[in-house]
Amino acid sequence: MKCRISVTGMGILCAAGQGVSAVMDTLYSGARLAAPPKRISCELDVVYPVYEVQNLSAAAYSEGSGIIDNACSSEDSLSVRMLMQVVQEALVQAQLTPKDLVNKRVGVCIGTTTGASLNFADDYFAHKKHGWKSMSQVSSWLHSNPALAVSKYLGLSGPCQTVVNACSSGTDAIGLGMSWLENDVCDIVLAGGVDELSLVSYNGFIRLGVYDPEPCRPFDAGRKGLNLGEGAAMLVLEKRKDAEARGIALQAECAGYGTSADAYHLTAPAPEGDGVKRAIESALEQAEITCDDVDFINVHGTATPDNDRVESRVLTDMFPDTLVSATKGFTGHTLGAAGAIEAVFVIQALLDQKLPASVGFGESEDGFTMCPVSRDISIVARYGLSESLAFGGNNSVLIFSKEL
Amino acid sequence: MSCAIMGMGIVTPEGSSFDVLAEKELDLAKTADVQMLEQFHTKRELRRTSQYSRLALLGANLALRDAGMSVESFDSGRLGVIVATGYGPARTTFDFLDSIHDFGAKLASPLAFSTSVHNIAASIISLKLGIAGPCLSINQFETSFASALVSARCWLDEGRVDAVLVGAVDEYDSTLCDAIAAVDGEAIESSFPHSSPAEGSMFMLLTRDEVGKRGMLNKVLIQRRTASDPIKSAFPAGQALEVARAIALKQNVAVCCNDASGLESVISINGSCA
Repeated sequence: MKCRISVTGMGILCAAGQGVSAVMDTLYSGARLAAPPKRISCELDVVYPVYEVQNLSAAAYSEGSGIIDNACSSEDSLSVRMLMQVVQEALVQAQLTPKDLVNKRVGVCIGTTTGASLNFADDYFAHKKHGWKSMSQVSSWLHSNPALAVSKYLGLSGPCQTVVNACSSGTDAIGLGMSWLENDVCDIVLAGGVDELSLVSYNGFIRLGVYDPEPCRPFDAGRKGLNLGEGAAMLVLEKRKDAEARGIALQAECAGYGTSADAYHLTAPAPEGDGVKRAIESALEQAEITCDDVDFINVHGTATPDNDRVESRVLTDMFPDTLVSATKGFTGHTLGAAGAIEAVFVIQALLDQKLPASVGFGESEDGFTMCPVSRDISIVARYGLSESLAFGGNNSVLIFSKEL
Repeated sequence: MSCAIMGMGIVTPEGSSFDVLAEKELDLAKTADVQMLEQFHTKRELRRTSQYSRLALLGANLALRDAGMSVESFDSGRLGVIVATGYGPARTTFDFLDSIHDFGAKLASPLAFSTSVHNIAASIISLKLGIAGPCLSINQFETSFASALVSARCWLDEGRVDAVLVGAVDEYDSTLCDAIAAVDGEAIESSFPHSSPAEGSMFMLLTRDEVGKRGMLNKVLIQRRTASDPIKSAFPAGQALEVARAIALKQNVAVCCNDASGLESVISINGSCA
């Protein structure tokens, strides 16, 4: 890399909690928070569980209460409200205020799926009966593009990108943020991901036959599919020399990013995992390390039979002795937010030198030699890797390093 | 660093020849004919491919052909794809909602769902052309195309790829058009209007060569808006068609666009050096 890039701030919220400390407490306690959806009503014979964010804090985004003065408006989607909460948390840790960002080139790169989709189901169904009279969801969609909203509320000037790469969106947003800094497109990047539960994705994944009616079981022999979740996570990325000049604590170094396409199938991963391997190799090359240097891996681990089988095959080939952690049993699959949420888990594991148990995993499938950690364990780790596989055959990988 | 524009493909309801760009106003509020796609792919290969994805796939194929290249000209893992869209795949999204509405949740169409995701067009290009490099989709209304160019340049500058197929795609849908018009109609007079849905695609093949067959991409800026009045582009995704016109007419121009969130994007093109 042309320059070293550091993470100086993190924010997170998901079903496991709000704020890095609360979320990690949940992970280390092994608590599992899947429940029937409260905001989605879907006429099916089975109620499929979700990982829903509870009691989104009003304080973080109400006028004058935080470092972000611009209150969110009533038109903002839940995604934008979640984003502004994690932006605030990340900026506080990075010891940056919006005033500090004025006159700097600050990029915003946010991954999402539902946050940018035309998922205004209620308005659309009403339109079919009466024409376009009820417009609140359409208006909110036009008003709530994730990256544009963050840039607007903070009054930022710089590159702004809403990445819609399905389930690798959050990982790609962070990788692109690294790229912008490396190429001196901007001075600071707010990079992360967000997704909220929606009828469209809930009904869609159930109809694709990849949704477990029980809490999900990544890598378990009895796994039947994913559960959806929602949440947001944000990283403040800075060039290391700039962060050091500010005297700010460095949380981790962004060591490498790799991404590739399978060019194989729209909805199924390539069975031998060649695309995942290329993404890993690309990230290792950028980090200037080898497989042997990676101390642990946060897998994508959606708990669908195909995904976990491919990841298991790849990791058995490339990382036969490396610790593996699967965290979607705590969060559900948060789609476009997943890569950002799991980036926070990797960084915090490096800081805590501890990996959480992979809840939902009990017994591995016949022929699987790779097993995720089944209890909290202490680690001695310098490098952590996070994988994301996506619809359409996208594979993306981030490597973080403990700051030395 | 500037990028070389090695080839360009356009698809509009008025045709896919560069000659249509000589027209100042194109009628993009209708469906484009994408039958030309059968010059590149068999009918069987195109089965279950939506109009939105066909628009993008045709644009990408035309850009490669204009460059006199094919995917085989590259190491497929070092060829990138970036697709920008203003509004995304409207028709398949509404198809899925229709299937829920008309047949109930138990019978909602999984095919419509899987073709309604926002990265469907980039995924189809990667799949049908066998491109195994980085693949990115961007969706942020009027600044989408400029944003795609920012990341394309970064990938080239850092040596992540040898070439990038970067483009914009949007499809016309009357239901979406009515919905956006209704929102803008209800808004207070001073509100910044949103772009009307339009149909077409524009793709460029960018490389690090010093001279581009179709000119050079010089500078891309995304910043807080400096103009108070709307500067709208023909595509919801941003300046793609205006950039195509500058390239086709061999102009040196900076093409501007702005949006309701307060951003503006500026793309500087040198078409005369081609």
